[in-house]
Amino acid sequence: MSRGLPAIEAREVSYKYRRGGEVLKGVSIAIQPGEFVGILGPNGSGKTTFLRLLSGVLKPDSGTVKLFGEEVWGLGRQVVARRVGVVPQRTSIEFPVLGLDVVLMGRYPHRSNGLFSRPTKGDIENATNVLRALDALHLASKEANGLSGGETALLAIARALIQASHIILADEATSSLDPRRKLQVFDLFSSLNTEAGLTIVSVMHDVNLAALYCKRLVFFKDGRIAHDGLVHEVLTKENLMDIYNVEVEIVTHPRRGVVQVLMG
Amino acid sequence: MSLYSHPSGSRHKLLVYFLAVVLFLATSILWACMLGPVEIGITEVLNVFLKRFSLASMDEGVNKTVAAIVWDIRFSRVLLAVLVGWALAVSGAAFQGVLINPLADPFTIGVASGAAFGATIVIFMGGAVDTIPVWLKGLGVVPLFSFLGAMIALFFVVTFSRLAGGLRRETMILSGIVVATFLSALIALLKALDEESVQAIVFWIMGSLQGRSWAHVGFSAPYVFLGTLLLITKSTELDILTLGDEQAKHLGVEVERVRFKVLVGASILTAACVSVSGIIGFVGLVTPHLARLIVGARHRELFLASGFLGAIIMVWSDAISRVLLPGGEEVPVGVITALLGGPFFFFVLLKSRRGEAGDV
Repeated sequence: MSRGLPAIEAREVSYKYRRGGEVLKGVSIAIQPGEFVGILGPNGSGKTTFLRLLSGVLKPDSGTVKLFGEEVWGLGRQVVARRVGVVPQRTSIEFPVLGLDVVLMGRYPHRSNGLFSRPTKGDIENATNVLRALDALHLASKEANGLSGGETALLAIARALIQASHIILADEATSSLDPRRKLQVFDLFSSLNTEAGLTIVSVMHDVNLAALYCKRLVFFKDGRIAHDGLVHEVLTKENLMDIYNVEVEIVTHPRRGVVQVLMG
Repeated sequence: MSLYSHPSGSRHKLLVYFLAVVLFLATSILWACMLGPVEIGITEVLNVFLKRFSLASMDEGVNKTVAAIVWDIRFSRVLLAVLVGWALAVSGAAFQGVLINPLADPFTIGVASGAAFGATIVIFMGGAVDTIPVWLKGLGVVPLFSFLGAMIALFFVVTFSRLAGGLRRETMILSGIVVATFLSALIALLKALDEESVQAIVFWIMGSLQGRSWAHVGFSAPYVFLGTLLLITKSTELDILTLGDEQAKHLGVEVERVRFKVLVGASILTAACVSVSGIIGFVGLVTPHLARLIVGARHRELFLASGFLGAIIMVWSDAISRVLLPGGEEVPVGVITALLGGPFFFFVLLKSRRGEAGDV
């Protein structure tokens, strides 16, 4: 990837689903390589749609989305998949595929399309390591259609990570996980972000989790970006009132020193 | 410990399993060649095979009639059963995978209706089509028109899906229903117009391997091979597609392109068997489930396992259909597969229900 270009650049992006109103109304944002960005906002404010535009699954009605300077719509899926890994909100698996096989699907964008192309030893080792880091190695040999929502989420996270992309887009990746697992996943994200320069864009509802790990927060409201800045700048009483219409108190985490939100 | 602690265990175990299945299929083929109105023992059957494969030069012990019965009448039919069973099961597995629907089968998207319509037209026209020259002796025009009908139906299904917003699962199923309904109505119309051919049409549609010959084997084998090959090359993509379109795209799969190829491969398989055997139910629906219980859900293994199991099931069902009634009368093989498949499918249903309950 050439240096100096933003990892993600959206310019005046609008999108409207065939039925229903305009979901995004001219969103512009630039995200540099190595950023850790949290996207917050009420339900239906356009967060997920925005991610789908970033990963090129949807085509913007107007405006452009660029990844490292190239417009994402029109790039081959395999090229996009080498740049962007996506952790979806929910994964449903109908057939008895093994957990390890689900994770190994993350290597597909790097595979040659031969008749007998199989996951390599390195792929399997890679998958095993990521699963171990997520404390989820036991899922490797289980049939994925019998797993709980949280367990499936762990597989999806591992899958996106072994994709070895430059950018991870996570849509509520940890909402079905217990507190320990949530921290585990974000600790891993965080170390990949600081050590490997992985760019992370994470849609979240848990403001406190976002404040703990993200460096920059972007608030969506009614299909527009309402606030965008460093965590301590934008996570304020007034902004949360504006975005969610809730009363909160802002405090400082006694150990971590970051801003946290008390509800009510 | 190997991480591949698959239901079937390591790749070695998988290999042993496949070897066992191949052996069992071979035995079933031999056994099916012994069955029929004329009793022929295993030694005679083996003799005929040895002679045919010219491993032994001999005229002793095998009389010409026996050789003709074993080779030209029974073995050709048994081989056709192998092809038909294989094709139905593999295309069933492909349709279930590409539609992410465990209830899909080779007849779900209406290609088979096209085949039935093609056959119906020929039967309806009767003598008129006899003038069309046929290059494969003994084949008749029915399989040709039937195959053509299936391909035309496929064309309409794909076109309608694209018009309705792309090759997605819902559009494919709905277009399939549209095409199948329309063609069924046309078949019904043809039946109403000519009461004499009704019985022939009904009998053909019910599915049977009665009176099929080497010509049918030769007609269907290349398509079965082609379709299977096409599907196996797309097996990794099919695995990923079971996660849904959006996630497959995220993982780098060109969803529509793959789906089109799978659709074509599975339809060729369906057409290859329906055009020579009529519509034989349940094999394409049930066999993939059985195969998944044994080798898991990865499509590469699933296709092979489904193929072999489908072949075995078909050989046995056809054998039963030949000997069930005394006096050389045959039960349509579709009746046998439905009788065997129905209860088994109920078992699969029970099993999957329990799975759901444990999914909380």
